[in-house]
Amino acid sequence: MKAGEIAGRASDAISDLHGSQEYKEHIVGVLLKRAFQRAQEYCV
Amino acid sequence: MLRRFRLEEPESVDETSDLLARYGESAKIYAGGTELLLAMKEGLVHYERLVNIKKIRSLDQITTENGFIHIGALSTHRKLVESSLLRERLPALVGMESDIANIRVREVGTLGGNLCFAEPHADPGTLLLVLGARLFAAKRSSNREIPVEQFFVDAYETCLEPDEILTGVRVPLPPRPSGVAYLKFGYLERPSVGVAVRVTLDQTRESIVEARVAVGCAGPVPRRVEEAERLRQPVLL
Repeated sequence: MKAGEIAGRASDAISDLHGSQEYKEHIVGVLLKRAFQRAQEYCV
Repeated sequence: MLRRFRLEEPESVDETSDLLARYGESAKIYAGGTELLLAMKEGLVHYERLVNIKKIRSLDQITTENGFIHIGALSTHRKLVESSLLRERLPALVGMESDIANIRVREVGTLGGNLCFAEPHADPGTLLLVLGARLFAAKRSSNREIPVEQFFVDAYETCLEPDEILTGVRVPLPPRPSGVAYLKFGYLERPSVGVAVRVTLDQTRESIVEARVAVGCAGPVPRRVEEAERLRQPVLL
């Protein structure tokens, strides 16, 4: 399993005004990938 | 409508702790009011007394010592954004702080107030998790250090005792070479999802020595995801 899926499930996302649980879990995966790329890019 | 309340203005941590011990649940600390006053105006909560701790000197300093940065709990978001020390040593923290809420909130809202209100849709806790921050709490005649992992208990709930106040945050400077990033997403002013990452590379910069991952806003409290941290490239990406 990929890190994004694991983090999505671990986020304890709830369905509310901000979006459904599934949607938030998906966004966690997308952001995690981008955050990894950015963190490596800005490595000092 | 904001109902009437009394305002206490202690000038020390001990005095604050005494007030909180004396008035219990009828008093609440005021450290900027960007969350508290909204909730009070809406009539969601009411306190007979607000304890304004912004008159306590020395709790808004940002200093560095022995590989750590210490941020006083009463530092406003704006002060953190404008700190040359943070810009140089922890630019990811500055980036996160510069995008909190809106300029009016950043002007008066404090880092300590943000953490203590423990609103789930907040940014700082998630980033502080991957930075390995420790929080300093004090009450009359005692102090303690709390790893940020243990601070948030539930939505709007922290592990602070009723007469305890948060005095500061200590962040270790990341080992080199490391990179830190915090990203968030949302279409409302409060983020729907926040993700923080800290990666440390080996000296050749070809492989990851350590990765830290935290997620926030989606659930009641921000949390580290250690299971995701154990994966290595290329599984990671």
